[in-house]
Amino acid sequence: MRYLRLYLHFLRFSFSRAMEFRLDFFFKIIMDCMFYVVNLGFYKILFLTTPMLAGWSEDQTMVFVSSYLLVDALHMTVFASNMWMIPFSINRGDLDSYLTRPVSTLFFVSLRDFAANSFINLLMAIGIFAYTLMNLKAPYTTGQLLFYVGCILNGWLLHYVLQMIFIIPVFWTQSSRGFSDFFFSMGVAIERPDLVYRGVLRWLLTLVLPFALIVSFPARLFFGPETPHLFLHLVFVTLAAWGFMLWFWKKGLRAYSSASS
Amino acid sequence: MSWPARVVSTELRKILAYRSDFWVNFLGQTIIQLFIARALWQSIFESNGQTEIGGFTLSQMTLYYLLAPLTIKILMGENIGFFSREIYDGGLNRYLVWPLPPIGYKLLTYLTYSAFYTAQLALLYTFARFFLDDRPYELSEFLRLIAGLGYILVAAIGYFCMMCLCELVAFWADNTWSLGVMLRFVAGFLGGTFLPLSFYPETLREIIQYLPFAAFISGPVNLILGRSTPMEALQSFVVMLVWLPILGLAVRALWKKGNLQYTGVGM
Repeated sequence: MRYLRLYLHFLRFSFSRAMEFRLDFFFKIIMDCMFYVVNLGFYKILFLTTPMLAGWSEDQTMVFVSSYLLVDALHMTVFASNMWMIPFSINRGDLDSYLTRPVSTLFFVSLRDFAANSFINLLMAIGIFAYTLMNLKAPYTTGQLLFYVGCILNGWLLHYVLQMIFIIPVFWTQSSRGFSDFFFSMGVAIERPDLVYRGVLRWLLTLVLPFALIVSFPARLFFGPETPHLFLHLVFVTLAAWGFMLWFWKKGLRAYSSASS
Repeated sequence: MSWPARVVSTELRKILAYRSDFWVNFLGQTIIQLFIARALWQSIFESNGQTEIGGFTLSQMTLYYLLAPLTIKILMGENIGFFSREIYDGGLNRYLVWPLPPIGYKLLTYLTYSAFYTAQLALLYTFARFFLDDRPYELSEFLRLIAGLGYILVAAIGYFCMMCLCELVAFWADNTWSLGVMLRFVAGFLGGTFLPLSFYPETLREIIQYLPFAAFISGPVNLILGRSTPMEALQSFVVMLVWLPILGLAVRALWKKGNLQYTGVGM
C-alpha cells in the first residue's frame, strides 16, 4: 500500500513536469509515432517479397508487430526515462540519496519518473494492437486473448529485467552508459519472430539473453498450436532472469562507492 | 600542433577511453545485428525456395546488412546532444574565448568519430567479403570500397548539418534529443538501412531518390557492393552534393537566428 501511494505521487509529479515542457512533450509523441510507422512499414514492405515469415501470415505478423509496439510503449511510459538516468546516478554518486530512503532503492530508481508523453503513445499502441487483432483471420477466444495479453505483460517485465542486466555493469565499468548501447542494438531481436533464429543464435536469444521470449514466444502461444513446454520455458526463463537481476543488483550495490563510482 | 590536429587527437583519446564499453557496444551493434538480419533473410530465402530475391543472394544481403547499419553509424558521428546540451547549460559561452569557430570545431569532433567508424567498416567489410563471397577479389572492388568510404565521409558532413538543424532547435525548445531520434528513424527508413530500397514500391522509390537520405546511405552502400552502375552512383553523389549547400545554409541561418535568442546562462 505504501509503495502504491508513493507511485501515485510519482505519477502526479511526472504529469505536472511534462506539462511544463510542452514542446518537448509534443516532440516525443511524434517521435514514438514515427517508430510505429517505421516498424509497420518495414513489415509491410517485407511482405511484398514473401507471403509468409517464419510460418506466419501477414495478418499474424502484424499482430506480432503491434504486440512489440505495445511492449515498447509500456516500457517507454513506465521504465525508460528512469533507466536512462540510472547509469548517471551511479556514476555521479547520486544514488546516495536513494539508498538512504526507507523504500527499496530498485523500486525508486526504476519507477520514479512516469513518461506522460509516452502514455499518449501507449493509447495509440493499444489502438494499433486492437486493429491488428480485428484483422486477424484466424479465430480466437476471449480466454486466449487474455492469456496472450498476460504473456505480453510478462514480456514487458522481462524487457525491464534485461535492460537492468545491461545497466548494472556500470557499477564496475565506471562509464556513464554501461552496456546500454549494446542493449538497444539487441532490441532488434525482440522485433523478429524467434523461429528465424537457429543454432547458437537461437540458444543465445531464447536462454542466455532471452529477447526472443518478450513477444515472439507469447505470439506463438497465441497463434498455436504449441506444446506446454513453450509456456514452461517462458515462465522458467523469466523467473531465472528476475532472480539473476536481483542478485546482480545487490552485488552492484555492494560495489558502489558513492561519487565517481 | 594545429588546433584541428589537437581536436582530432583529443577526440580519439575519448573514443578509446572506455575500452570495455567500446568493444561490447561495437560487437553488439554490428555482429549481433548482422546475425539477426541474416537469420531473418535466411528464413525468407528458404521459405520461398529462392536463391535470389530482389537481385540479392543471401551472401550479398548479409554484406548489405553489414554495410548499411555501419554507414548510418558513421553518418551519425558523435552522438545526440552535441550542441543542445551546451545551449541548455550556457556552455556555448566558451566559444567567446576559444579561438575556434564553434560549428567548425563541432564538425571536426563529429568527423573524428565518423572517420574512426569508417576504419572499422573498411576492416569488417574486407574480412566479411572474403568469408561470404566466393568470387575472386578484383582491383575494381578495392577501388569501389575506397570511393565508397570517401563518399560516406562527405555524406557525414550532410548528416552533421541535419543533426545541427535538430540540435539548434534547443535555442527555442526545452529538449531536442527526440528530434535527433526522429531523424535517425527517418534516415534509416528512407535511406535503406532497414531494407534495401530496391524492395520499396516504385512510387515511393521515385520520391526518395531525390531526398538526401537515400543519397547518404544507399548511394555509398550500393557503390561499395557494386550494385549501382557508375551512372547511378554519380547521380546519387550529385543529389548529395545538391543537398549539402542547402543544409549548410539552413544551419547557418538557424545558428544566426538562435544566437540572438541565446541568454548565455542556460535556457
